[in-house]
Amino acid sequence: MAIVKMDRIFLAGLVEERMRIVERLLDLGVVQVDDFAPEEVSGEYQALVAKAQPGEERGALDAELYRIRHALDTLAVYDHEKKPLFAKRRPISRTRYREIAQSRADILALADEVGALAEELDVITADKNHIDRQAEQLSHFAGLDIPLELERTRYLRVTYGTIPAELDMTGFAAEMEQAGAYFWEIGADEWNRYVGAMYHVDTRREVVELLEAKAFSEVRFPALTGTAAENLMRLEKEKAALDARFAEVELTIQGYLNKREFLEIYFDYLSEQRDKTDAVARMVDTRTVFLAKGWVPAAHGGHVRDVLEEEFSSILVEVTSPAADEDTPILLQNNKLVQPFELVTELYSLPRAWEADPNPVMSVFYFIFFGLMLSDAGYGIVLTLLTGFVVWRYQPEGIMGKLMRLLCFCGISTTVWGVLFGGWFGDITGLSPVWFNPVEDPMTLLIWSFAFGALHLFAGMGMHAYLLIRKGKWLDAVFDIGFWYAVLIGIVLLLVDLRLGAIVAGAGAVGLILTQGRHEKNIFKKLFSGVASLYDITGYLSDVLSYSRLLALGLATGVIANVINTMCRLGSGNIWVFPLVAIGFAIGHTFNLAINTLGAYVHASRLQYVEFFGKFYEGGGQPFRPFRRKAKYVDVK
Amino acid sequence: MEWYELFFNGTGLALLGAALAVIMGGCGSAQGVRIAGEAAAGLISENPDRFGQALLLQALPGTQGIYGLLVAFLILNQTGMLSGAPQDLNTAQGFMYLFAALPVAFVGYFSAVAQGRVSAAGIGIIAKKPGELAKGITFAAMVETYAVLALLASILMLFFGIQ
Repeated sequence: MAIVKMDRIFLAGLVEERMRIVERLLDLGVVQVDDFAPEEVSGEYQALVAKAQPGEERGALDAELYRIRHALDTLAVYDHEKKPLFAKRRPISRTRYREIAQSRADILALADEVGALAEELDVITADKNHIDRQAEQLSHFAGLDIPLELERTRYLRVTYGTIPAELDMTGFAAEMEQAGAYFWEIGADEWNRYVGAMYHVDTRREVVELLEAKAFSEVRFPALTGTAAENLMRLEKEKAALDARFAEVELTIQGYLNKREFLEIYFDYLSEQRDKTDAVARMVDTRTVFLAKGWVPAAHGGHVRDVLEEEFSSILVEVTSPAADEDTPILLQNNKLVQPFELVTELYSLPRAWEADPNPVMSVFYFIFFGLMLSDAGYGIVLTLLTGFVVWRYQPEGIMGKLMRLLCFCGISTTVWGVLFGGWFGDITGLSPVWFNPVEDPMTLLIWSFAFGALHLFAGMGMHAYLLIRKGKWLDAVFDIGFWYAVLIGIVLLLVDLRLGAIVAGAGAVGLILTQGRHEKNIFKKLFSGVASLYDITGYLSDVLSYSRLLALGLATGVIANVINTMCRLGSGNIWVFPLVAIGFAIGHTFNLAINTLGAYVHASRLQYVEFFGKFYEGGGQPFRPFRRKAKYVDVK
Repeated sequence: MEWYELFFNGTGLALLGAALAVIMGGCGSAQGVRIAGEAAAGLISENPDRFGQALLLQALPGTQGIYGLLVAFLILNQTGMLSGAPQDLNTAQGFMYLFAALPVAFVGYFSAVAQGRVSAAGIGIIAKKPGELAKGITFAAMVETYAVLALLASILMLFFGIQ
């Protein structure tokens, strides 16, 4: 139930046995291999070692991975089977895994075939685009019955082009005729007229000048023969052929779908090879011996050493405990109930090795606060069933798995608060609250919010005290936390018993004035720091007030749910609108549930991050990354 | 009715409060969600798989509009306009409802725009470091605090300030 204790591990073995040792480490899956710099080897021996050279090239592996990735991406486009929301890895036997790993050439050939097909699709698409552009231009000249290659006779010249649509055609045609040219319109659209001009070769200069004055822009059809209409027909046929080919290639690609499995397995195998190469690259070598270092959970250190020493005759494994204040990689271990809440901490920052795991305490408050802010039994049940179903059906891993389990638990808390406050999809059931209705009596909930907040803050301060005492600084714990406890509890007591409260708070304040300046040397500075520290009371005040969001968000859920119900009631009574009302009810409450679940998640997290963690938490730990199999597609059994 | 009485009609003033709460909260949220949405769209063009994360951040400045609606609803409810039996409000009572709506209206507007900017910056965080989503959300939630406090003030005024 805490931060797992890590031990340093040091390995020395024969280079020729290294790949087998690395393989064994991969199987064990509990050792993190750190970067070993040659400079870390002391003095005279430094000249003997160099960074290890992995047998396989990282670059070559990456290139192969890329080829397979590309083929898989292509296939994914054509996989029309319904994809599960949460991908599950496919179980596969070790022998089969080995078998596929051996058939490198076949699988790369397979990947390249798919890759080539994907490329052909790209080429076809580009060709089709080209045809479309050509056809678009030709279509404007479809009414032209002169073959396109006929641009000149001995004395005649023909030119085609576009001219702005607002041109006065009859006037301009007359003008052209005077210059000795025949000018006619072939087609038009919103912006342009598509026109032709035929003229005697001797009048060329005049005609061109006239045309240019009207913003004529020439269109040419090099390398085309026959009329525009004929060309359009030809292009259409070409396009149909390309379409047919496209469909054919697509079908061929779909034919490869049943071989996808091989690619996926080989992809995982390659990724593993790459991980091994990376691990080797972190070691240093002499000519015959390699050195590696890293971390192993203390509970597994002995086992790792025994396994390695038993299997390999010439190997040195050293497992040592780090110093108390050393920064070790962080692995958290909590029971099944607390585990999902680790997500909240992980998203913030992992603790440092010398801190305490905040999750066991934090999870309790997160659970309570989340439920209090959503506080509707109907929503809670929906949330729990929905996320519970996802967990049961898909067993999501990693962050998603923790999030789903977190929401599942918090749904339970939401349901409990909903029952206490009488919220069942707002006020729809009219069930009376077990405790009280916050919409009618918000002050009571406000006071309770502050009380929960004070408890949360006290727990945070308690964590701080615990850490100080664990380090043996119990005086600091009394001065920094004990006295503040006295002041804060005293202030609360003022509400109950003025005299007692004043005594307790006063005693605490005097204690603070006398001790908070203890790091200063000068007596006046000591006193001044002591008095000034009392100003921190404003910090505690604003911290407590911050918990008013528990009330505000709790009310928001309830009141919005009531708004939805009120609107639905306006429409009820008439049998014909009933379906509409039902749909409105469903959409409204779904929206309210979604937006307020987000709100509850965000603000429950914030209360942990700012108010709770602010009291004691340092964070910044690095996660423990054991060297283990991280298959994406398969689960080798 | 004299013309100036229109401006001091109790029911009208209460409605003005309700309207202001919705208008200011809604405009602010629309603006905030827009700012964050533009940043999100930029990120999605590069990394479409971060849609879920970006959407989360974009949704954050949307709450002020909801708080505004909430206060408007409370005003309508308390004045009996929802139950079909509107109370006869005098000018003083009308102003009380109007004033009670002001915190959520003004703080809602400005905090939503501000939160939109912080959310956009948070989207900048996940563009580079997708693992740091929670920090971006926390920064945006810091701004939201003041909208929540304003909502609380409006609610308390409505429950305890109106005579």
